[in-house]
Amino acid sequence: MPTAAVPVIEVSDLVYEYPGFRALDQVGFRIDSGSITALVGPNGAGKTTLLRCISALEIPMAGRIVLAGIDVAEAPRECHRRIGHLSDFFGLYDDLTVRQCLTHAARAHGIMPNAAAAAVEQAARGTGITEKLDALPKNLSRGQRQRVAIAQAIIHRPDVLLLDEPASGLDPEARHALSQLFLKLRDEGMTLLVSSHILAELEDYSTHMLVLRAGRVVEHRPIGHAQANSTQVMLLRFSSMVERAALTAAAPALAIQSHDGHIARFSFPDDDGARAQLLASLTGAGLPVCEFAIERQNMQDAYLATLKGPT
Amino acid sequence: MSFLDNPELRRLAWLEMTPVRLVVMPVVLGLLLLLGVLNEAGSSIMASGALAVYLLLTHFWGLRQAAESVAEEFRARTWDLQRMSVSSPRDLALGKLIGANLFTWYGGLMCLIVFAFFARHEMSTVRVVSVLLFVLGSATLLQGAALFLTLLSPGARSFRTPYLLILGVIAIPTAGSVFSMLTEDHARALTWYGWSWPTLQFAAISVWLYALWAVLGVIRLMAGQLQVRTTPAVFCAFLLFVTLYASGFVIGRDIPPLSALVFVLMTGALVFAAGGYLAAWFESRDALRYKRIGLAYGAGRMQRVLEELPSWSAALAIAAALAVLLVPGLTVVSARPVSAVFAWVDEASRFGPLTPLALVLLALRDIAFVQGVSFTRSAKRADLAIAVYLLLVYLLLPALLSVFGANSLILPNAFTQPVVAVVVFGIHLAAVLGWVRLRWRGLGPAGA
Repeated sequence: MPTAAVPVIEVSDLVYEYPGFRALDQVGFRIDSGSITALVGPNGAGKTTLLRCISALEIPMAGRIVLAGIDVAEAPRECHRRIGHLSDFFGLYDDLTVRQCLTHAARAHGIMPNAAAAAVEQAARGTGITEKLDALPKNLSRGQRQRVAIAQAIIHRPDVLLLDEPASGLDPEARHALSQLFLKLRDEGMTLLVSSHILAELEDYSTHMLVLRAGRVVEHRPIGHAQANSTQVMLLRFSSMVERAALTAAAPALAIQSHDGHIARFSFPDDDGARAQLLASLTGAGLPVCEFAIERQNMQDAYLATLKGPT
Repeated sequence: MSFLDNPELRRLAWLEMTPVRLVVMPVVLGLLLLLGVLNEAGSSIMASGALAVYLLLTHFWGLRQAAESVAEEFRARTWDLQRMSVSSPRDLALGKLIGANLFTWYGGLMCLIVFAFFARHEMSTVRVVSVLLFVLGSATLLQGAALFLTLLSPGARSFRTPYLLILGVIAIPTAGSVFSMLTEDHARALTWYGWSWPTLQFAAISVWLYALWAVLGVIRLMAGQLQVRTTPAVFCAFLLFVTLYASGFVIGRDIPPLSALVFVLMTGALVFAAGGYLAAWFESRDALRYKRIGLAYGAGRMQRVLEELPSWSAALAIAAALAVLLVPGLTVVSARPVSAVFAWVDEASRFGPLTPLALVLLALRDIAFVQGVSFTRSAKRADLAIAVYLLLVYLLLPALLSVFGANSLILPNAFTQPVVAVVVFGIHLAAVLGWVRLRWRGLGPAGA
């Protein structure tokens, strides 16, 4: 029997204002434990403000944020024990060695002196920077600095990790490594909320997408494999011209979305048996099918479709 | 957990106490000492020289270090990391205050040892100890004040403003007074609450008391940064301390008890008004704070209202209450004995019953303007507008109106024309408040 997902972040009716400007307007959502949520939206949508409110770095005007059962407004310092936050400009003490940076982060997060060294080793191992422990952050590449900053953020093994534009400025190799790191952290039990503009990278590891526009949540849904049992868009390509009438004659119940003679798109239940039956009907009717596939909507398409939708 | 385990102290120790620095400081100081010995400088010169180097290290370099300890975190964008730590406000404040100056104290303490060695040939042990206590306290006060001012404007990335302010207002006068202590007559005494105190000992105790207040202030501001809620109570307690401290120089003289009470109230009104006025300039001028206060008030959460109140508002509310109390107080009791204390300001100065009220109204007018001008998205524009305002109301307009003999319309003398001052400043305040209301509404959603 499937178990009910446990919410680790619950936000309701959140309002945040700057002078003359409402950055977050009645924002509400919940994020389940063990998920990786991509927080996306145009510039100025309120992503960074939202992350800072969840981290108790900003005081919202109204609304409520509950993190792992703790009201952030009432017990912000308790929340800091449960959160790791990586800001878009990952702050590092450039004149300390990586080991000193991590030791300071461990001690500042309440890890006792005798346990700090082990925590440093563990965080360094987890982020792949063990070799760099005695280097100065200012002498590291951007990707390596990024990893040091993540190691700082997770040194106290938080329940929730908030990351603001973590892949900004990284090369493709470093981005891929970062994706693998996030999946590893998720597997270790962390819940991640990642804000980014680079949707292709988010697609590699995100389980959910939360879209903000003008300070409001316009969509929050699972992505990728999480769409089981839903209807999917199928693509059908013919090697030669096929009239729409011939297609509907072969499969009368088909919900055709578009058809140009060579390519047809239609929505169809996500059921392998039904798909096999449909393919048999089409080929049995003598239609020259040369491609029959699920058209996977990538995150970029989904995001753009959401933004084009009604406000 | 011992204080040595303080994470911030340890971090700063890694930065400040590098092996090279640990060697360089005693070598440089040793060479200076050798230079003095080779030149056969007398004990007096050696003691003064050691004290001068101490002052340079702890008072000038030290206050820069203290102010820079937070400003640097803003520049490196590591401040959020600190704010998300679970360190207590006290640990973070003391860690910064002591840690940022570990190196200057390292050299400074060596200088004090040299000073004590040579000074004992020139003065009594009591005097040497008093000077040591004073200079240790003054360094703590300066460094605490510098950190306090930097934390008061946490968005500021430069340490220059607090540095220059403390340098001009406290550091240079303090350094001057230290040298006068070495040369002036030890027997000099002052009267405080009727008791006679040797000046040097009194100064040493005073400077330590103010240093402790500065450290407490730093801890309170750090609490705010770490989302630990505080109220303006400690700031008001500090102003009360200043009131009672200042009153001690007059109370105990040949003044009737009722006059003494009125004097304390008058001093309180001035101290609270001045404290509130200064706080309003330096405190964060977040327009949205007023909306949060309104929302908390509407929800009946009075504790939250108190936590959101800016310190200046509490101080000025008390100043206003005291000023109102002084209207009958100064009518019944002659202010002449206490006014004499302020004679250095202006020979003609007399605290009439309405003088404190006029001064409080003047402070409120300026603060209302400063707050109103800050109801904008651009902090830079606000600062420019405030600078123009000050130039207009305190220089240009009074100068222009004085040509027509009408400068009392803009800046009446609260001592010589108290009634006019109350009326004029009252009208100004009403006009500014009306304008502030319009600005608030113009803020859009925040002001709606």
